[in-house]
Amino acid sequence: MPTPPRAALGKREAALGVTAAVVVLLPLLVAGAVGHQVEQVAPGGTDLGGLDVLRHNLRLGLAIGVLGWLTLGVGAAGVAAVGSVASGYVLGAHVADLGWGATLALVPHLVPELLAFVAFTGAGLHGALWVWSYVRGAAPARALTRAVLAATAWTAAGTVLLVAAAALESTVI
Amino acid sequence: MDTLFDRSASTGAQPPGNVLLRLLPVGAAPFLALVAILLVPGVLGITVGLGVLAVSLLFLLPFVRSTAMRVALSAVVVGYVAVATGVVVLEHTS
Repeated sequence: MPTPPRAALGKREAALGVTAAVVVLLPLLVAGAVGHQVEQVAPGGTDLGGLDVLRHNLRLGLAIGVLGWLTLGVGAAGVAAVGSVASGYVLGAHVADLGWGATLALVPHLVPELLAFVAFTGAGLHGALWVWSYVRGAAPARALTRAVLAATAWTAAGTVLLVAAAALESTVI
Repeated sequence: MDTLFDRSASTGAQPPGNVLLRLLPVGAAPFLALVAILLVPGVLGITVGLGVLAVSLLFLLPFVRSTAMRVALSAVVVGYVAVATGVVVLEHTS
């Protein structure tokens, strides 16, 4: 079987990245609109420290990545989407009850956090691609390594972003 | 056929078994890191988890021929170790 051209592999990786972004961001926006209409929140932040936040987010992120290759991507997309629904719902209610000012104060840590979960979803989808290619018996060894490298890069990027988000959350919010 | 970036390796329809076995630690690392973070209490769980991820990347290095990719992978390993160390230092100073 001929090696897929480099451009095609790049397109596939970009497509997986876009899919991960859609899986995380679309439920966030939809649930945000619903939460804005129906939910109420009280002012007050979290009493968790930065390390607790990092620990919690790392567990969630790694679970998304692992589920990706265990369930051929379905689990990763599912967990990421459910997490985004919960976050979006709370954010929508936050905007409705506390205003945009208080909500925008969350942005410094929220953006890297969301990007981190996009990255972990990307890692899960690449892991799924790796397993799926092998199951089909159609994976050239080089493509296999590219998938592993991509999953590794997404995981590393997600971890770095989570560290930044936790540091910001413990100091800014 | 030791390295996957050999041209001969890139044309095989099915990856050789030994290659799959050698890549297995990399694939299993997120799972082991997750187990460590779930089971080991406190900041030690994060440290062990990140350590597992860092060590797993060392298994990937022999497969990479490109110098730039080797440097990037090494930087990621150093990054994981730096974060793990920073977390421990933060825990003990705060």
